Amino acid sequence: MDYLFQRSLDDLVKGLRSQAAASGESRYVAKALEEIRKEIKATDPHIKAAAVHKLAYLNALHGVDMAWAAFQVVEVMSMPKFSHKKIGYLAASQSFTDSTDVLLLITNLLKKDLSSKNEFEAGMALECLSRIATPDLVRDLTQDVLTMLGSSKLYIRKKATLVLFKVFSKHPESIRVAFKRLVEKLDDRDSQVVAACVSVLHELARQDPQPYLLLAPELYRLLVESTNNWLLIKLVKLFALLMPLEPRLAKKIAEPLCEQMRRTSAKSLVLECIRTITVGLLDNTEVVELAAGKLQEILAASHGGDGEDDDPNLKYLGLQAVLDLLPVYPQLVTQSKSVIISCLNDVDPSVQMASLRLIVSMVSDSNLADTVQILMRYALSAEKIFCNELLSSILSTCSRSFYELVTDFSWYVGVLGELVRVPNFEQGKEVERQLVDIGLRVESVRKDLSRLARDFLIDSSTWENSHIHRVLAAAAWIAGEYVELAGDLFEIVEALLQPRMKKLPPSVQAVFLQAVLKILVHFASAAATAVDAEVVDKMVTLIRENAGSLQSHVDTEVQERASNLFGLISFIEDEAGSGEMLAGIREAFAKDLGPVSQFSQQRVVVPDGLEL
Amino acid sequence: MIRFVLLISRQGKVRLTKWYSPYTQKERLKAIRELSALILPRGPKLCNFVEWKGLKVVYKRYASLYFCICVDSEDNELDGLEVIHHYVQVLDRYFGNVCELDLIFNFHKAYFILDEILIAGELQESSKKSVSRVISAQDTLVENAKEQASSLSNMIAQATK
Repeated sequence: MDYLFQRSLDDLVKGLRSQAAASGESRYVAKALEEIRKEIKATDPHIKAAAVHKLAYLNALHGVDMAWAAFQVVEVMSMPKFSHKKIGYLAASQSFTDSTDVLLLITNLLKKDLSSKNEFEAGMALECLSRIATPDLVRDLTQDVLTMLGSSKLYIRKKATLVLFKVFSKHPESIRVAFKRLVEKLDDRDSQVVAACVSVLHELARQDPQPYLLLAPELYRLLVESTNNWLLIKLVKLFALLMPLEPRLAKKIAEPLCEQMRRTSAKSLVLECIRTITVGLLDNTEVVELAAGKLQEILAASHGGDGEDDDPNLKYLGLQAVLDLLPVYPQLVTQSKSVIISCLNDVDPSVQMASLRLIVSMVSDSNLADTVQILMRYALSAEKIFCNELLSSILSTCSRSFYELVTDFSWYVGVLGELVRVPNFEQGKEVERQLVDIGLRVESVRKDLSRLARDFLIDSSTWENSHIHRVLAAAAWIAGEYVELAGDLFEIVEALLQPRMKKLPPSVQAVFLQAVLKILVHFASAAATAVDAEVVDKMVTLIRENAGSLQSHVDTEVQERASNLFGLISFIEDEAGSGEMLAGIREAFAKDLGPVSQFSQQRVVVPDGLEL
Repeated sequence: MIRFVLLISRQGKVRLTKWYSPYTQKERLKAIRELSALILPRGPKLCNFVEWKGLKVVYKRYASLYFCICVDSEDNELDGLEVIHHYVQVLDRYFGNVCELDLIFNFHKAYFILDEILIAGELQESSKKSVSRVISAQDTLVENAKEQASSLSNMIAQATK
């Protein structure tokens, strides 16, 4: 009679919900668990089953571990009463894993229930098997599942067919024996079983499509005859996997595919057909035309006009599909250009990204400038993450294949300058790399670069954004490297040594110092007249004042470069011999640094006798 | 195939989880945490698909509950939404205007119904009528079994064992 006092599941749930605080809830759960631990040991089946039921609830909805009760779960699964059995199976399905040791005990139980006259018991056992299958369990029960494929009950045949997939995955050798039996289900008198069979074939074909090619005629018949949407989608997907293996297959299914696209009102099927077309039918113009037409309808449907009735799903999927069809139907983009561009500031980030990907893939050298302009415009008003996606696309598209698309580098240097000033800019490293890279490769644009560098160094308002710092390093390097092209060198040295520079990261400061060194060398060695000599003095004083403290900087590189700089200064001030020295250094700096091929090292012949 | 099904309330409470792919207890908790953080804050005008760990998660909000299914990346998204809607319609038919409370007090029934719609990560029955029929047949069996247990003679038999 104990069970009259046992807390039922209802009581448990109500009790839990009446706990206001989380701490109250966890105390309640702990108390309930204590009760369950006692109740679960009872011999009375009702008490045991109710305990397992409550435990399953706590496990499912509150993450309470129930691995310790595995044995009792098996006991409940073995109970004769359907109501108890079902609870046991639910708990097992939910909590058993590959490492549950009681799995060894349930083989016979499952065998018995799989062959039960009660179809629901058999169904339960099948479901549980599909969830907890281990290679051992499956090996022992494969034959039982295969027998169920021939059951007179549709309910059983359907479940058994789907569970076959699990059987095959856990016990691959069974495919040889069971394949024929599975394929027979394609001819089952009930469409749900046929659909189940196609589902399994599709999952199997995903791993290796070759063996299923011979089923093509059967599948073709189904493609033509079926009206069940779920089944059709699976069939279309299956054909997408088979088409690459047999070119004639594509031609054969072109017509039924078109027919389905024309007939159906389900956009899911239309989109699936389009995906399959992009896999193997892109050379068939009629099919592509139809697909493009359907896609345009979808895109049009996705925009409610005033933005209120927009269907975000269709927008997103539509854009993806346009990208897939792009290689053969670029007209789609030009036709829907304004729609696509307006998606750049859509409220949904996925739609924004899909739109961006589409625009980037349409870029050519003739529309590069326009595209960049559009992207910049949207970047200015976009929030941080997407803004940087836009900027990063501009950077990677323009630098693709060694700047293949860029015809006017002067323009591009201007773009880089604008880019850096965009409020949410974070692409410092890439811009640094490109500025230096372009300087090395494109001689004609070095003057523009120098001007840009000067602007960056002098306008310190941009220095606020920490991502600019790498760009500043590039600017300093450019100023130093192309020192003959820079305008007012004094101004630049002033900028390089302004007090704010001490707040920059040490690696950047180091580059700044080296630039100052180069400029000083250039200046001092070129100083011919007394007027020039005065300017050199002024420069030296400036350096002394501002960079003196850097000689004792914490960072070793900064310290070293600062010391070098001051060493140089003392040379300059010591008249004798400095002229030759300076000329020598200047010559070293005058040699152009060019990009080095990555294979150059290999070409260097290792001298005899050198052991590396 | 469907890898798992999650039902999460707007406040982030888990109402149902069904795993069709191997996930350890730790991985399950992590998945729930990550997807809650990814999906719950999404506004109503955003599309119903998110990418997660190379997979796709299709979700739809019905009243206070988010129904999420995780599928392979090549699976059809709109189809996934249909599966969710199918499940919700069957639940609605069974409970009569289903609400979150129904699922909390009858979690096992929510599972039983799901098990008649999906098995081994695939759709098994696309007819709502068939699913409902099968569920009520099983309910009858359960009720009969319970009646037997609570019959007076049985109670006496138990007490005097």
